[in-house]
Amino acid sequence: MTQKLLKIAGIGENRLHVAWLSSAEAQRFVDISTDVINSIKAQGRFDAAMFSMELTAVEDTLKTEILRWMIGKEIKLLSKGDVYGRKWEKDRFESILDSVLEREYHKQLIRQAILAGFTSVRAISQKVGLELKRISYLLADMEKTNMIEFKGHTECIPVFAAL
Amino acid sequence: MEQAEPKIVAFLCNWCAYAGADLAGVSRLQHPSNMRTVRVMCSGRIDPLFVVQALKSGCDGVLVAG
Amino acid sequence: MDKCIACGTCAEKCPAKTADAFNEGLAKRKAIYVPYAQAVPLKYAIDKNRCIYFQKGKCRACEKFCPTNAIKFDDQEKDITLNVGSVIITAGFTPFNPDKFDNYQHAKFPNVVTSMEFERILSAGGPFGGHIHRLSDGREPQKIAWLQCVGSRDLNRCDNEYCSSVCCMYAIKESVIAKEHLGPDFKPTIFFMDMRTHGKDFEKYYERAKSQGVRFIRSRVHTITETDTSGTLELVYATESGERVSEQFDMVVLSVGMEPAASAMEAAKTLGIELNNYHFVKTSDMTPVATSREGIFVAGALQGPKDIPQSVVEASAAACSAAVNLASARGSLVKEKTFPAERSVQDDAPRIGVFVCNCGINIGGIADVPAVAAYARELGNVVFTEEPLFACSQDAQEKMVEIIREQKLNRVVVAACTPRTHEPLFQETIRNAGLNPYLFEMANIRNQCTWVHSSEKEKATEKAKDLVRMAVQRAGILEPIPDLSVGVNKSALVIGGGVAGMTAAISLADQGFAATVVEKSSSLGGSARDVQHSWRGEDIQAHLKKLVDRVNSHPHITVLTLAEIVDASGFVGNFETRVKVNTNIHTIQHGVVIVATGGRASVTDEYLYGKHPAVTRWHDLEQNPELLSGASSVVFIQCVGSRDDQRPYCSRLCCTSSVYQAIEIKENHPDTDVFILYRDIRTFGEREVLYKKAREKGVIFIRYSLDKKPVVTGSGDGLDVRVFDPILQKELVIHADRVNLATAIEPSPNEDIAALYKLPVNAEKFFMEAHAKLRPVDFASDGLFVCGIAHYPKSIDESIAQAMAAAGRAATVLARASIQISPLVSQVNSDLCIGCGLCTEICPFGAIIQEDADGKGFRAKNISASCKGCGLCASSCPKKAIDMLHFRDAQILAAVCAAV
Repeated sequence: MTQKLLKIAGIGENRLHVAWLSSAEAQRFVDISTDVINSIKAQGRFDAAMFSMELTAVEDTLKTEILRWMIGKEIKLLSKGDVYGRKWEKDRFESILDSVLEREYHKQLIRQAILAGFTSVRAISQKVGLELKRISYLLADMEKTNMIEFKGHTECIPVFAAL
Repeated sequence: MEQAEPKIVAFLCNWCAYAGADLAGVSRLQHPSNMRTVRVMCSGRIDPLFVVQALKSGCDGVLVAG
Repeated sequence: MDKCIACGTCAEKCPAKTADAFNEGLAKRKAIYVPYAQAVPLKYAIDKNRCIYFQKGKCRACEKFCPTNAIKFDDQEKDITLNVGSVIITAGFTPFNPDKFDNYQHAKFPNVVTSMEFERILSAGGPFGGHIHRLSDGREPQKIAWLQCVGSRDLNRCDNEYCSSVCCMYAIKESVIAKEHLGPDFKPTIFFMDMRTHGKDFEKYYERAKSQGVRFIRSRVHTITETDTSGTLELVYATESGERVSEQFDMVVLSVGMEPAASAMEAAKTLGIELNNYHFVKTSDMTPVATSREGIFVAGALQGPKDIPQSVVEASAAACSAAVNLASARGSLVKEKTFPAERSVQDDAPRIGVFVCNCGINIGGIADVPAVAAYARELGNVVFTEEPLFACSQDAQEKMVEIIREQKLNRVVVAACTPRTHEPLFQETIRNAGLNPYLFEMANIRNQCTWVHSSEKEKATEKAKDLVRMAVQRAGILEPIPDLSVGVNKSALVIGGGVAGMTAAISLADQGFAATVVEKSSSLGGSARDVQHSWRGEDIQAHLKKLVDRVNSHPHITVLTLAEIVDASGFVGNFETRVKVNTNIHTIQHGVVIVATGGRASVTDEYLYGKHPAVTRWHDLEQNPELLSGASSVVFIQCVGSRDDQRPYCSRLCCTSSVYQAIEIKENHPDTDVFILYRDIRTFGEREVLYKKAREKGVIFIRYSLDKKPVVTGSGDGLDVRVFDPILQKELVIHADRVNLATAIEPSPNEDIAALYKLPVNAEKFFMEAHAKLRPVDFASDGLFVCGIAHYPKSIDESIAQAMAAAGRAATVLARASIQISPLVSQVNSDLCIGCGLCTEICPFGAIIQEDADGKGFRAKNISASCKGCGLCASSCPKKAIDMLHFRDAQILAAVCAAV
């Protein structure tokens, strides 16, 4: 999940590597760490300052209850089923998780943009690189969940503020 | 001072990957020195937020191994 | 011994090399060596026969280079006299040596290896680092053949008559792992007689191996030749239908069986205990770990071929037997260690002392230790640094205690080896100086730094500085954590009054612990009531009667029959269970739970069972001998409902049971034709002798496959059984007066018990142990144990051993007044908690419950005694309301932030 988010955020999923090994697998540990180091070297140094808005948005996304719930419930949904007793297919779970991740991340990114002073739809779009339509849609959603509020108009342009 | 070598934070489970890394030492298996290990009692302890925090504080990559 | 720090310098400098026995001679080791990397104690020893000094009187290189003066050439062998109350012998087995027989060609052809050699070849820590290649030319093999039953199930060549039990499974494992290493083009083939995957969940592994491309051929290979100079091998074998095939392979692995080791036989002789025909230690099915001499117990493969879980079970059972004998002396030799009173540090600013260990030249020879120490001195809160030669040595430890006192240190960082081996030692040291042991942190600058970056000295120094900085940052915010202990109620609840449950109860009661046996039916005995004889021919009913009498008359045992468990709560040492008997509710306080809910033979609708009176199952014929009078033909059908899609497991005991019954019929009515229709005969271990005997007596064995099951139809008074014979390649029609079905063994209904105590079950509803190999009677949660058929189908000797093992494990809890538990547990902030219950749901140990908080709804509550400190709850909590002691978010992040 974190890898997916890093990918969506443009940071690159391969900044994070995940591996499983047993205590006896010393050679495997060496192989894994060498691979990881080579991979990171190939990607070059990571500029945290350049991605500071994205990282904060990723962080806030990871804090959201909906994601923590989805991850916490994954095994139960796949093996035992939901409250209606329906077992989920892995693919279905993954695709829903993907869309939730993307939506929640975009919302957090928009929030960061607003906090950084980009308060109109157009300005947000320029800052975060999302389509105007998508931003308007998400803003409506964010307003409902008290992430942001509508502050009025400046020269006929709607302006928003983060809560 | 900016260093040329990237740094990677490795979250290692005490019972699996950390023990594997120790054994690599006992066996003197040489590998590059970019890892900075943080020991945890189980890979389940690793909140994804730790990963983000590692990247935020300026490391170049993260390894989670259990 | 005490001085050796296992730095390895001696072995590095030692000029004498010899074959490494641990690696089956495939690699070299030095004359001074540790047997293998994980050896305990990790201390180097000199092989006198290889040492140049001992052989020629000169060298002493190890002595010269040893940084701690740990080499002692004049060390002498000593006779040690121990005064003990009991002896347990676990001297194990030796793998069969195929070199005696030229047909296996092991001594002659380099690419014929034994399974033990192949095991080392596969191992990442082995001679080739896990890279599989041929010994003849180093080429990666594309085709490997495993030959089963090498030295087992064969009398022709003075091999061993018995089945070694474990080889089928390890051959499949080796083939699957080899495939993982060598990729999709690799073609493994296993040549076998009967595939014996009778262990828990083994059948599924077998099926998975088939689907992953492991080829299984039912044939015994008779000739192995080398086809060319590169060492490629040709195998000649006959298919089941009699066709002769020759096929080339790159390598051949001989699946060698088990034999008692000569040294073990000698030890047994010294101890004066009896051996059986095969030189394994003789035991009875009713006392599976007791030898012929009172007070001496046996466990593991010295008693007969067996796999790891069964060996571990017997080990615990032997320990239990010894404990029963020694119960009166329990605790009489224990000495308690005392520590000075703990100094409070809560209100003081951190004063951190950093000890950067040189570890001889292990760290100091690579990293610049003075520079690391000087760097540490500049870090915030660090008030003292030192660079001991060996921080772990006795004198350095004493000095550390003094320094902590003098400098008023309240946090200690040691930069040295690994906390996995040395943290407890240093924690004890700071306790001796009056500090809480959790005010300690290690930086691993040896195992994970200087040892693995020895050619990059500067980078190793930089990394060591970083690791020290991370440790110091974390140390600054470490908190003292008080010891955690819970009292123990010294009694057990045993669920199930069968042989397993009763044996467990008696094994505990004989040690002085109270036990309550809860049985749902009206009488004790369980499924053993249906069985007359154990596979060694011992009288089960007589044993059962004795067992029931002992349980009923034992002063420490309470029996509740027609009882139902309705509620359960608590944790290790402190359980409370409510049991309903008729309309009364008994509330029982107890310290441990032993689950022995047993199993039963399933009912089937196949093969006219229940529709035709001549179709019976399991022990029906034994219990009603009149059914056999006048019968001229009896057919046994095996695997009825086992090893199919619905129950993808082997019921383990049916082959032996049917073969045993077939022999009895043949002995009582020699003229009766007896047929056994089977898929693989799984008379593992010494049970194989029964199979041989049955064939000698004229029992006819016909193999069938799942896609061509036998068909039973009514025919007058009797039955017609149609079965396809793969050897004759045609369908046979057998007229039978009786058809007896070996239906699958299934667990007794156990959903309620599983739910009440939060115990895991596998897909087939057998209870799941904490670890399939190493913890076969423990549940993952402390204080709960499993034994008998509730765990998996097993014969009575195996059930008794497991019941004693469960009692033995339970006694490790009950023997103590209180249990020290790791205080590194989760902590709930109930102000932040919203009572969502996610933590309760994901906790693998049932260690977080939702408690009714007055007027606020539910709030999470940690049960420290059950918590293993994994931290899953903390990292999942949507509200970040849970933190882990000693591994708090802030403490981990302090290290993370200091990494760069």
